[in-house]
Amino acid sequence: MKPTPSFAHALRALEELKQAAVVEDYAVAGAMALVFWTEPIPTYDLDVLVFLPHQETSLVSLGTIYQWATARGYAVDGEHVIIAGLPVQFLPAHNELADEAIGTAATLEYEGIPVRVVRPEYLVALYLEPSARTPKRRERAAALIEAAATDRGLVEQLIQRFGLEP
Amino acid sequence: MTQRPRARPTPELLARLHQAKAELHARRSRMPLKEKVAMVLELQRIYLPLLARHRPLASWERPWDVEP
Repeated sequence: MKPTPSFAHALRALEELKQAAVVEDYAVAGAMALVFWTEPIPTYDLDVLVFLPHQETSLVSLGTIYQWATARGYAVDGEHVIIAGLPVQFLPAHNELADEAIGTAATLEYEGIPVRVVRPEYLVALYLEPSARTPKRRERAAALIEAAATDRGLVEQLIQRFGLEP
Repeated sequence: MTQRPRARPTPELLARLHQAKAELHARRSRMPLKEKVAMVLELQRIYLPLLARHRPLASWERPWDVEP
């Protein structure tokens, strides 16, 4: 009988994705990133912001990630890649805020596996983007602002610099 | 029908309740990562059946078959 994979397996796969140069860099975002900074909330997928290597076309394609997944035996379900039992959604950095969120991500450890995680201040800013604003995300932003790890001054700076509405 | 005035909690009691809630959130935030992931898995098992009552679930919306 195959042993049940662990959450760490999925995180190790993300590191492998980077080592294989399928992505230049990555950072866990979304609700699973919150787990690293504040209290856990229910979520059903793992959001991963990625820098894709330079592509000749101006249209971003996740094809290389899907090829990597298929070669490793990971199923693709719509926009998700199922890695070690977890639906993982890869989100190419869509603007400068996302670029900075990946660039400044913290390298943390989970069960000995290094994992890049978007810092709480950038998670707040990403949740406050007009395209992302929903009552649920505003609530998450509010919880993050209260977190001990969050530098509120930096949140203010990001809100100003990226023209976000608090 | 005349209604008797309802008894209300004192500001002190409300403050204690709010304080207790804040402490609960803080305790959960400080939990070891592995315990937090275990809690996410538990929350999935609790919330997904409730969510399914409100809308059809996507194919990927299911409890993760992983150990924390």
